[in-house]
Amino acid sequence: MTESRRKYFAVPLLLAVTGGLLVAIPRWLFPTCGFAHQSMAGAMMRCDTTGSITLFLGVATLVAALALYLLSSGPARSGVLFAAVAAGCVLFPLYLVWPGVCMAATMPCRMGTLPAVLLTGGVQVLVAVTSLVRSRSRRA
Amino acid sequence: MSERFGLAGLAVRMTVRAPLKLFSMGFLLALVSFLLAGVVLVRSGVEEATARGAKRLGADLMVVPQGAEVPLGAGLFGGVPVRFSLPEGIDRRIAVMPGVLVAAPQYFLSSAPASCCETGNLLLVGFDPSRDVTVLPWLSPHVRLKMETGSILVGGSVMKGTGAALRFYNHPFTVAARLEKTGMGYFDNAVFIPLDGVSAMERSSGSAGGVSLRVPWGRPSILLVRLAPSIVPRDMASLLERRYPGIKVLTIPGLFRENRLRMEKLARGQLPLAAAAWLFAVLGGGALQFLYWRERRSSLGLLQAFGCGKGVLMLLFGAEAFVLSLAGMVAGSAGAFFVLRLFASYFAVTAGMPLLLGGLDLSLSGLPWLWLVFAGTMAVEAVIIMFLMLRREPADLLRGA
Amino acid sequence: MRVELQQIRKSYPLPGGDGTVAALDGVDLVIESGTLCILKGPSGSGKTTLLSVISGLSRPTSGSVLLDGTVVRNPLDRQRGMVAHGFQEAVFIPELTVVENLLLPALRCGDRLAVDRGERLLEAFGLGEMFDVPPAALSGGEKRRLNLARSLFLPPRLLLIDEPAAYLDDGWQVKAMEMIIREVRDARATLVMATHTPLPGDEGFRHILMHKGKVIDDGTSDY
Repeated sequence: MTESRRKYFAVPLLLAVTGGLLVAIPRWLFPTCGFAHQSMAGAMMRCDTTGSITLFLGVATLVAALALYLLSSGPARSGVLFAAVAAGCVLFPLYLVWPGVCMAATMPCRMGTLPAVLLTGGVQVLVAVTSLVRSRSRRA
Repeated sequence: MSERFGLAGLAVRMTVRAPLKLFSMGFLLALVSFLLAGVVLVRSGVEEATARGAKRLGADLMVVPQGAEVPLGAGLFGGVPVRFSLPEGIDRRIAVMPGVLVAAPQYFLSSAPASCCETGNLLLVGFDPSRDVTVLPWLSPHVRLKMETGSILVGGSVMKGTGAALRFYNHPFTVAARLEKTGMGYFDNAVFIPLDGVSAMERSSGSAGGVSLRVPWGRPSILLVRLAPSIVPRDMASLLERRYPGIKVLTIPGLFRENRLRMEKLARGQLPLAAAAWLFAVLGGGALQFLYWRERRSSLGLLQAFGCGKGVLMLLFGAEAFVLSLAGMVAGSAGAFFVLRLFASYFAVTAGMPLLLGGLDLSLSGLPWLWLVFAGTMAVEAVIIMFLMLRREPADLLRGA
Repeated sequence: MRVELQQIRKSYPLPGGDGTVAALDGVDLVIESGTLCILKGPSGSGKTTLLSVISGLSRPTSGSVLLDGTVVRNPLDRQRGMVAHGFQEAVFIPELTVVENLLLPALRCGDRLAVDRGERLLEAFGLGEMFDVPPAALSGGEKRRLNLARSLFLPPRLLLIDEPAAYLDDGWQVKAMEMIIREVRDARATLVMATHTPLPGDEGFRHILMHKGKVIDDGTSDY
């Protein structure tokens, strides 16, 4: 594997991991209350809505990772990285403001889903921003 | 490129442009630091939460139903909704005993399942403001509970601010204040409702097809007892248990006994763990550095050929290892802090222990010596590896021999 | 710079520790200041080892190296004494860029860097476009040219170059030799080059022939 190939492989791989985690966390790893069978009277809970949006953002991140793997360079690559940053950033207001999660700190969504998703989102933003900065400094 | 290109600049360039070395060394030390800092932070966090929680309970004794110790732990430390009741009228009888200053009853309830889920499954604590020793004494003097408006207090982890409207069992409440975080689920995850409010909530419940609430009036879940200074809590606890069957009386230190024992165990394991982590770092870091410099020996030969003495190279790359390791250690410790902070509730509920982390600076204040020991070790290793490598002639190093 | 070698022996231990092999076997040589000199001989005759011993990259097993009549012991001293060495292997620090690798000889001099000179040298050796790329991005020939440019970076008093023509095409061989000779003459330096193939433009050089670690022929022709 050449040096340049390795460089382009690391970021898609890391984003694929964060995207995969964003898909897996709200459903399987640290499920939201509904998925953890604590559904309130069978209705869709607020945290479940948040979890479903997270799942969608995870899929979007996976697509971004694949696109990054296929794209060698140029503005399209930067655009995809921006999208990955945005997906990671959106998670914070999604969980902390609206729709949010359950109020009780003992609920599965508060105990597990929220910290795990925020941690993964933080890592995703860090990876994508670092890659953006590096690609810009390389171009400069 | 800067016009000056000195040795320090060279070392920085050789470090930051070697992502593999940067990542592997930094990651190794960050991992070690993460584990060690995690243990240290858990220990200090549990101790801090225990101390603060014990102080905040404001009582000398806690009276609970016999056999309720296990759910009590989940409720107190995790803030998980639990329900149990003392024998009828026990609060009145204990309140009039000589040596008892205050006997404050509390009713543990749980919020009703609601499709909106906003409230989730909350621990609701009904308390008597006139006899309270636990919540009100710690509130700012500016906070006033206006009972007519259905004022309630929420724990520091409940995601509702002052003035927010909440509805339990079809009864509207207003958040009068948010309590400061203590690390104990009982304080942080619960909602404290004055008994008037509990009564109103009970009346409102069941209306409009909602879930009805039955409060076991006269049979509180716990009784917090404050004693006269001359009374020995343990003696009073024994007396109460003998006189009133069906109750368990816990002294406040006794309440945290299990946690203390677990923390003592953790404290005993801390030194062997640190030693094992150090050994791991020595072996892992040594192997990484050796492999890296073995691969890069021609660079060393080149630097020697251009006039860098052995001492300079040892100092340069020893310093590099020190800085890199220190950065890894700091990053690992900070990572442990943030992860623990994020997962504090998860830890408290699953481990059944209170946990309170202070600010980043305060929490990590005990760790710099650990960082220095590890970073120093890595630096010494780098110097030894340099010394071994530089025993060869520059010509041999240049050839990669 | 005058170079004087007195009974230089250099032996290496054989693999397995069974005895030693002599790379240099009692070399006595005097190269007067300003001499252009070519060390010739087949592979394994000791040319590279001799250059390493002169530049201080290798310590002789016995014997003395005198530069301008003074015994100089370590590479640092020789660097200060303005001895430049173009290595046989085009070795670079992979984390540094082309220009940073070029500037390595100035590392310990304490002078402000002559980036302009670096740029001029890179242009002269056809590497002007490669200023900021890592050396790994260079071809074999480009690496050799960078290696040569680096040996010329500081105006030397003694320039030692090992296989200057290796991996260079005919055009670059001629150009490189012209540049080396010009630099050496401008600096009134001494030049010693090791090669096992004829070099373009080496007429009038002193030719020293080596075989099995010994000087077997010395066709002096000072300019």
